[in-house]
Amino acid sequence: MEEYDVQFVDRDDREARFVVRPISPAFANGIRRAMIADVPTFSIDTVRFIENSSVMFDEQIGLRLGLIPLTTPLDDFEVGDTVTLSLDVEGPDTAYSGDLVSSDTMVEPADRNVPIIDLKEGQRLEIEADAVLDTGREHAKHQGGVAVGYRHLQRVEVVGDRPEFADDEANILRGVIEEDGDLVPTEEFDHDLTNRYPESELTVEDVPNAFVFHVETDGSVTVDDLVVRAVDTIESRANELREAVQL
Amino acid sequence: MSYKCSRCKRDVTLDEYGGVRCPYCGHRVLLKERSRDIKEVDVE
Repeated sequence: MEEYDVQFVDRDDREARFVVRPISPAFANGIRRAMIADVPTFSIDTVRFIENSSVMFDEQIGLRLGLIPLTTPLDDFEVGDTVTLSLDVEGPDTAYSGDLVSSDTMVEPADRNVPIIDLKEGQRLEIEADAVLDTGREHAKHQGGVAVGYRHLQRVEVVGDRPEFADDEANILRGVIEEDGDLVPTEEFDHDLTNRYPESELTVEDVPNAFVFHVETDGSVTVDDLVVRAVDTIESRANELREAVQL
Repeated sequence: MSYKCSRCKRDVTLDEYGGVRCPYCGHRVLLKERSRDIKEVDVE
């Protein structure tokens, strides 16, 4: 088994940035795609409307309900499992995702402040909904990773002094740079290399096979879970392929 | 099948003889009420 070096730049439950090396661009993209399409999350899939006297059609409200992120403990459920949620709000009030009552305490709205619909006096919304566990490949509402990307780690080298009468132009670089083995996010110097290396002539190059991933989830799973599960799906598919080609 | 008169807001039941008219106020505009059945919608 090949070993990979992972260094975190920022780390939070919902958002993280980390450097992985050594990996090929193809493998980096494979991880990115797996995070988007192959990690399953719960999402409302069927809605039974008991009463809807709001100003919106049932289908429109159903669509909004589908997009509410639900916490997904991946160890306890399998793809295809369902959990029932219900909601009963009477106007004048706003129905929020936090008003959804789940039959399973492990599967609940990740955020309680997502507005569903504003109800006026006399309007009422009463529904029962089935959330199903499925992957982003099936429908975008099941995507766990919402802002997932990567770019090369950059290395900046000072090659000399800047000519005396050169223009004072900003030298913008976004991402993470490596400086004597330390990782420095470019926010630290306002993305402007002239702030960090004044009066210097610079060369910027990509560090080969080192990628800075930026991962953000919708709250249904933690970043750690998302990344680990995504890599697991790649492994399981690779194993499947290996077994399939063995004669 | 139940309707609601758009002028006097009272519930109206239509029969085959009365025609489309509110028996209380004579108004000819009736609004059909939403069914009380539970409607199931697939989220796509």
